[in-house]
Amino acid sequence: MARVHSRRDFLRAAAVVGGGATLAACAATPAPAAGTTTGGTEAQAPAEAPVGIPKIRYLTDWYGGARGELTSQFLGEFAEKFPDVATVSYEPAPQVGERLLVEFAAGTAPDIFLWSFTDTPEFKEWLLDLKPFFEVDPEINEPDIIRQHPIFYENGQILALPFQGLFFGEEINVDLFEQAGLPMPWEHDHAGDKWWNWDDFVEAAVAINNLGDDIYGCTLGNDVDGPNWFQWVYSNGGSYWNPDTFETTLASNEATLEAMLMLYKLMCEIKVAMPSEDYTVMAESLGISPEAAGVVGIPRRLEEQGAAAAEINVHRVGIARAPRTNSFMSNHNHQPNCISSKTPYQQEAWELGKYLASTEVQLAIGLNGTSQPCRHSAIESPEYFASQPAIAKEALVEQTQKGEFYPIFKGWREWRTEVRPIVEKLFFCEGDPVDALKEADEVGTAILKRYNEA
Amino acid sequence: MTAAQVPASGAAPAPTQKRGLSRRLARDLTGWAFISPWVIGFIGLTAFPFLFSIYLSLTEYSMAAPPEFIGLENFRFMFFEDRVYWTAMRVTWTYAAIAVPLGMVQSVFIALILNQRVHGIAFFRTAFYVPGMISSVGWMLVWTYLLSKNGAVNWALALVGIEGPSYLNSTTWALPALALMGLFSVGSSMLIMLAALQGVPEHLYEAVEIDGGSDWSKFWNVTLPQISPALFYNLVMSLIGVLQSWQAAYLMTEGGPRNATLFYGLHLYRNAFQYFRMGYACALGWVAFMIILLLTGVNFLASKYWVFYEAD
Repeated sequence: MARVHSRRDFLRAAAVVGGGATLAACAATPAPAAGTTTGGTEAQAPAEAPVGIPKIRYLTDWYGGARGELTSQFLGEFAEKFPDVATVSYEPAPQVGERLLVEFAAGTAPDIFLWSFTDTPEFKEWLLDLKPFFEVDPEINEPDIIRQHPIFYENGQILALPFQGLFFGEEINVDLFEQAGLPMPWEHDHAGDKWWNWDDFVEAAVAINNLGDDIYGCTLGNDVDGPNWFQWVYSNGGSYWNPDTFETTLASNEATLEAMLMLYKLMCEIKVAMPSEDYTVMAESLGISPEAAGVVGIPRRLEEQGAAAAEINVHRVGIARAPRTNSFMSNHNHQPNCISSKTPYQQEAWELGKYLASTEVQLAIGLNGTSQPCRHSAIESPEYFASQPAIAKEALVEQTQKGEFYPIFKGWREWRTEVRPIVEKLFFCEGDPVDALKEADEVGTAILKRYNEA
Repeated sequence: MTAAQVPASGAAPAPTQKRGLSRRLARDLTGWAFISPWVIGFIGLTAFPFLFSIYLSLTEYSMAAPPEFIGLENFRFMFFEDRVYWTAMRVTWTYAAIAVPLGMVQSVFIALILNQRVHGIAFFRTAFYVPGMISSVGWMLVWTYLLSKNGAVNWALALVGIEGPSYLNSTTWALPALALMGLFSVGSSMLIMLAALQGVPEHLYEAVEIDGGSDWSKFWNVTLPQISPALFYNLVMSLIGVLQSWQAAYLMTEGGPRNATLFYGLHLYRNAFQYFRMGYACALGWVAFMIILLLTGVNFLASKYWVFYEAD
């Protein structure tokens, strides 16, 4: 008599089949061939390396589009030129900072990664001191490196390898300058100084603003730590904070206050700057920039606009001379590669980081236009100069030499997040600007002291 | 094993009793084996983090170093020093006060309409439900455009001569705009109300008709009481969801302008992943949990006055 199978038998069989299928799915899959990294948004499986050659993980937020393609190109070139050093697992991630936080806490940190200097105070011990490598490796010439953030050089250490440079300055719509009959920034002459100053900047903004209802004289951004506000303040000799007392000095520092009020005047009294409410999140997320919409005079910056930038005749130049110092200070915002202090493959990670910091790679980054080089040899090369407006070369070099980074201290992120809504009153022309800045000083100082006075 | 099976002398159980024990044990073990994946996941991914976060709320923990016990300092800071905490509370409760009643009224209203027996009603039921299935990130980004100064909302208002503001850049309009936007995904609650409406016995409406009652009388005296359990469920779930929501603020306004949309959840997220204050973030989470728990308890206590179950 045939056995009648019960429901229990069926469930047992299903459990065995399901468990077996699960185990089979979890089994290691064959790795793709070496050098097949692509610029996608998914982590690439490390290639199966010959025995003895380690695999190292490179985490970066250069993914998708031109940056993803460039990174894949660089890693492919590294694999070709240095086949015996290491194979690289390219791990693109949009939120590198948050991903790194979790990975470090879990003890699974990548070997080398693109790093934001704003996180350095809290996580310095995660970064490998590269000074011994710099000292013995003549290929990476430290004087040739455009200065990284000072926070990477504290206590005699060197914690970063240069990778991505950003020297904010000013960008001008040449067509609108010509339409308004304005001299170019380099066509001014102030007692032999052939560069525009603050008064020239204001005059240009007013003239361009008067060209039409859909054109703004300038765009200033709406972030207290945005390039424009920051570099005007520091160009004028001001500072956002006192590093000795951890006091915020937006109102208490005379030079800072003067610069902030100059910009407030442009925005709210003369009214030649794009209103802050036009800086919508969506406009940026869709790539629809104010510049692409045609409302541009002296735009803020155009790195992300890509195709839109190609439609209008924009040149990047140095910002105008600030009134108090008669000088300018460009906002530098470089992002370096750093190596994990926990990696067992320090030398291999160094070789990759060194390659990505090489003049060859830096020049490729600069010529691509997606960022700027971090090496003087790349910035001042004939090829890079050829890609820049002829007359702006001097200003470009001067920008790389006269740079200021955002001040970095513990609690910087909270400072920025909490102070910003208060300073926004200036951007939205609400209330008395001095009162707003005094309130920002009070709030900002409390935050900085809480984090930095143990 | 029953009392009848236990030997009076206390000697070892008889073989039949042992087989019974083994069979029961085997059955129990089989049951545990089948549910073990869920149990392991629950313990490892829910229960343990849940309990561990209580400990973390009493520590200073940046993830760069091990947690350092600081007692109730996080809670003291929260209530007496963190000015942003009270702003976040106010914003979140204001949002709840707008979004929850509106959402419930809307779900009842749409369910009433969809409860009609007309041709093509299935299409409309689907159409109203589909937005709830769309990725919230996607439709939030779309709404960011719709609510912009030159977006579709202002275009529609301009047709009747109204000049709308830039909603997400206005301290007055940003929060109401997010609350109204939340009505877009009414599908789930609407479906629950629809199911409840379809469970209302017809003879109750007939009784009202016989008594000469109006449509409003039917709705107030029959429909509402009969669907009150579903209303109660939607109220509890809406409150819990709304008090925890923050995605719209994160994606669309970043908590601005001037903290006008700084939700509690966003403040918690910032403390955890941007300021690296995990301990404080856990403390914020636990306070939110206690508030929601208390509110849910109050809702349950109050429900006896307005929720009518069939068995009552």
